[in-house]
Amino acid sequence: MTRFVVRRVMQMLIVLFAVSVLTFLIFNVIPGGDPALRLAGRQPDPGQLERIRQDWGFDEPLYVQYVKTIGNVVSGDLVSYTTQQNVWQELKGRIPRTFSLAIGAAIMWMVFATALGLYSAVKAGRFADRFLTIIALIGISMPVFWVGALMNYYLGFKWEIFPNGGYVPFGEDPWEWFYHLLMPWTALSLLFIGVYSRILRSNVLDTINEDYVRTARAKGLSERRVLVRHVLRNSMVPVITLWGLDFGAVLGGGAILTETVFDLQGVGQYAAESIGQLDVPPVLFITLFGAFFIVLLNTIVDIMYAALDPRVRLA
Amino acid sequence: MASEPATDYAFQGGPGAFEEEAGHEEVHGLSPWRLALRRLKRNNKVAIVFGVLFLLLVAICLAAPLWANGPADTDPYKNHLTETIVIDGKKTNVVSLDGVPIGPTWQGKFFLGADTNGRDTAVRLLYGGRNSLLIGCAAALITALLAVILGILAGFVRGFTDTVVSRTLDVIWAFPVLLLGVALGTALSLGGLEIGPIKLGAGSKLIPILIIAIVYVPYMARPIRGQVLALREKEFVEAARAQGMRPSRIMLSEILPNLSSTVIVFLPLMVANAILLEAALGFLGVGVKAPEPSWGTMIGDGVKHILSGPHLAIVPGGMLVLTVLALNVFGDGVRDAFDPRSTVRMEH
Amino acid sequence: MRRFWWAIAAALIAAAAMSVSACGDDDDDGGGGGSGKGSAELTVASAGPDNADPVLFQTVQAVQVFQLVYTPLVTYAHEEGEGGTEIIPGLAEEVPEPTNGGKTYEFTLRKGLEYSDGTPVKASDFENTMKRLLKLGSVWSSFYSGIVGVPEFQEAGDFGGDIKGIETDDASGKITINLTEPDTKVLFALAEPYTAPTPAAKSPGKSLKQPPPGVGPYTLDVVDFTRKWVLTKNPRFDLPGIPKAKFNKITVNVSDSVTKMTQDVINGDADFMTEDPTGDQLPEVRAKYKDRYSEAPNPPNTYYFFLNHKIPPFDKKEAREAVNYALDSRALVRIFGGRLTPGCTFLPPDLVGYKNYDCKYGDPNGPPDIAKAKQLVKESGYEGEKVTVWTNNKDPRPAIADYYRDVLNEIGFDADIKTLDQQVYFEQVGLERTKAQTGFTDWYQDYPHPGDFIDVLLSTDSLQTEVTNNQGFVSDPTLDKKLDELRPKTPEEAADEWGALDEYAVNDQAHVAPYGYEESSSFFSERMDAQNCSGVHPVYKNDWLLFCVKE
Repeated sequence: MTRFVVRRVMQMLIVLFAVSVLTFLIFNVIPGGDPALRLAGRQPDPGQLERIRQDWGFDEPLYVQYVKTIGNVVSGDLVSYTTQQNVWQELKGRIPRTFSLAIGAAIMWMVFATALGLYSAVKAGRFADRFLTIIALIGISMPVFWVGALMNYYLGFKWEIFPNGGYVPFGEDPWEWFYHLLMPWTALSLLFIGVYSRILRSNVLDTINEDYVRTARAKGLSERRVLVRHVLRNSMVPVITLWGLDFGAVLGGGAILTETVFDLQGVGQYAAESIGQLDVPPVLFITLFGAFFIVLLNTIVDIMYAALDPRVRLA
Repeated sequence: MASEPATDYAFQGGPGAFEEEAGHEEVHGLSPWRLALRRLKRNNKVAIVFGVLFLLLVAICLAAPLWANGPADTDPYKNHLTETIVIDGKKTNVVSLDGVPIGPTWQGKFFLGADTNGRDTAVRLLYGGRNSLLIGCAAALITALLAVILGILAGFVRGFTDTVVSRTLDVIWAFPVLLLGVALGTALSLGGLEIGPIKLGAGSKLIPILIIAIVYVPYMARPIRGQVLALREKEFVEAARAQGMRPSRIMLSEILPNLSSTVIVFLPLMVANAILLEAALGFLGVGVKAPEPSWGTMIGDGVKHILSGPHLAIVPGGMLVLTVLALNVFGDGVRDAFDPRSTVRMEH
Repeated sequence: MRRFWWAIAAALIAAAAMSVSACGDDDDDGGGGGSGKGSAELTVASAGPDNADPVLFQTVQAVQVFQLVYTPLVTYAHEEGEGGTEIIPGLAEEVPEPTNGGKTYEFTLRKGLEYSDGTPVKASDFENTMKRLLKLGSVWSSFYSGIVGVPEFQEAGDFGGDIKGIETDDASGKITINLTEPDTKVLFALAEPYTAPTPAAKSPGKSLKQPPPGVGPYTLDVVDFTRKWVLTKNPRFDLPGIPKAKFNKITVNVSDSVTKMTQDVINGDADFMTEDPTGDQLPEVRAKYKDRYSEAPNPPNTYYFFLNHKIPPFDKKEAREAVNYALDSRALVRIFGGRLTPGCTFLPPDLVGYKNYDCKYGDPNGPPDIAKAKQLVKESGYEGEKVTVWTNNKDPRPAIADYYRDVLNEIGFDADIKTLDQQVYFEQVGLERTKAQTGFTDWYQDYPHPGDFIDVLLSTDSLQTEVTNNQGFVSDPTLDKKLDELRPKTPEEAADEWGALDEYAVNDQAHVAPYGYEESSSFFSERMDAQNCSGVHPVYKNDWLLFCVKE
């Protein structure tokens, strides 16, 4: 087992390394922006550009620059080309926002998906089930930024039920924090509720016909007890693992769209802006940050499966 | 973005009973295709309806020039900023001096209103649909192609090839999807792409197609690899090997056909997701380049003007949702038809 | 059983993570607070200054903040409108007349001046600031290239070196500046906040993360570069002719979202915003908040399309004229959401030297002459030529470019668009090797001198730097010769000649295609007196020293 874990962790590190190299190359090799120009401002004289290149090390070979940059990432000294401020400082303020969004949405989608999926399965084949399936499919089909924008417009601006975007830190006002996040959470969850409720529904339908459920019923347990203790618990396992993977993905980058629409100023929004400005340091940092979560959660899931099923360890 | 680990993959739509020639008993099995079609027709009329709806939407978008040259009398690029039209007998500015465009007029011209540059929304919607659908379908097909090739190579040849392919897929998979798309889109938007003989201008539609295609390859390649792993242990493959068939021949004639149902099931979902990703990239400003319209860029522009012109976001978004929904329902039906117990999933 | 515990574990981890993220979350977002604190404090919403170092900032948001903290030797009067273009004494006793054929300016520091931290002001501090400006590659360095010894200092690259043309004497407080040739622009450039002396001991030859002390009504503290800057009243400040601080504290809340800023001003969480409300919000703001919202083409600015003279098709005058005939300012007004005054001149109104000459290419408030434009395109021989319109992604520039593209297609070109991010746009189109044929550009006056427009944007001299603001690569010997004549003259005495030069550049040579002047907005919260104290200033855009609360 330990061998398996070690192997997976090694894989994780290799993948992260490859991701960092790929990001670095995308922005430095593909034709585009000369970072020296950006740092120099609007009217640099020729000598100035040269001096900037030397100061920042742009004239050194690529692999040297790469090593230096990664060194800066690890030591927290990374500086943005655009603002010339420390990247980690900037991110520190933004991470709570992205986490608040992702975790809140994750809890919301789990709760609703479970409820809807279970209900759908219990009423399988009947009108309620078909109706909920259509709703779920609609949820999957709506782009999160569109839903978010419309919610913002109708609920926020026109009818003034919710605030018009923006983020209030928890430390400042917990109720406002919650209130401002309700719409973003809903917009982000809709998609996943659609997906997960259907997965749960089909898992529940599978398990509901298993022998041990029949045994439980035969033992005289109430239907609700049967559902919750036996059926639901067993159906949830694959759902939870998927939840882990998707959560990693949202944290890694899927939050960009929701953050942009509601102007939450989180990590995702920062990443999108930095990419547009060809500001490599923050992009590199955030990409590694996101990839780290995706890969970490993937690895944890794989390890959990290996713990359960010895056959997997040989794969 | 979720897909189960390869080992949990359990696609049962493998080779069904194949038709037997006369001479045996009258066992008339059906090919998996026929079986699927029958199940679809019998159980899932809804899916067929939505499938037809999708084709209808495609047809409408393809007929864009008919609308543009006919009732609308313009093209998707023309700015009508200083013009006026007559609505209910009153002469109205297409775009007010304040910059507010008119909403739907339900007339030939500006049927669905105008945008802040005075362009006809309905015309742009249809032409934008062509672009979005083209990119979505092309990307999905390329993904399928790459996924099949990589999946077969990794799953059948195994060993070092498998390691290389799987690790590469892992790297692409680890890259946050949207960040990768935006990064590539931005980087390529400046100078286009130049690899050896291949030269793509910055405005080429092939760039978003390729980006979307590459980003989704792992989602399809992994399950296919899993299926190939299972298939290669089957008797008929062993038989082929015993017969002395070369590996490449086995891959082509034995493995590949058995993947066809998997691919068919994946395709509608892939197209749906490709269209959604194209919209997301367009919204963030790295999709199709101006002045070409696409649903994503129209939604992006519309969101910027949502207070003064909500129709600008609602119209392309609604069309997009309808199209993707149609694909999802149809895709669902197809999957159920091929195997009601299938666990093939492709969601983001 | 095990699986159940996993579910619990997952839930616990989620809850823990939530609380960690919530706890780590106490930076002051600046949503609440502000105007509720009475007339002693002011809250401003802004996109934020772009640099904390007073010689390196570039944006109009930055100058509004820095002018409150740093007073240069001479400065601009703190008056609304045209009064704000007058140069008055700052740290110097009086505004000097140039001597030595216009090549020498002699300043004398006032006696007993102290920085906000108590250190006495020395004459040599001025030279130190100028050296920082030049050594650190400030974007304003080109303004001072006419001072003797500046190019040599820049080339030597040694901060310890000396600038020959600046002589200071700490004992007498005298500062003497010698120019290589007479040029009245330099005095105007010296009145800008970035030349203000700061204590040499606290102002080394590298860029600073916190602003050094200055002599000004306020002191500045960068609490959080991308979130919050705070200005505090400087009790030591007392200079004749410059108002003292009215508010004890000004909090600048930095944000990316103009939509949110507008909301904040509407409901009083911010008293003023340095940005213009989005085009989307403008109709509502104009309708509902008329009494606290106003627009003015200020600071004087011109919006135009650059036309690259070095490559086809705009190397031919006919093609350039065609563009001027074809542009319809009325269409562009709509794209600006109404915040554009149509015009055909290169120098904007409200700038000395502006001449309201006949618009050869048609009344800007009337229809364009497409037929004539088409004919000129044919004459140029470039009919069907592929043209790329360059623009950046800041609203509404993409829409402007799309309109322009449409017009170019209409008159016979084959046009498409290329959009770059606004951070990288100007550095790209200002490079000759980019070969940008035409595209969006604009220019806001840096100081009230017509040379800031024509000399900086259309002269051959401006092509010296690698990235130029003369994106059309205009190099016209007649124009250059006239500029040589005009440099020694003050703007007032040469006003007519500047106007004539503008007319020559646009009507005669079609060097550029101007279409109007953007109106910037001043939007205040309910408690501010927007009618009398809007502080509209030609150099600083809004002079916060002139803001006041309603009685």
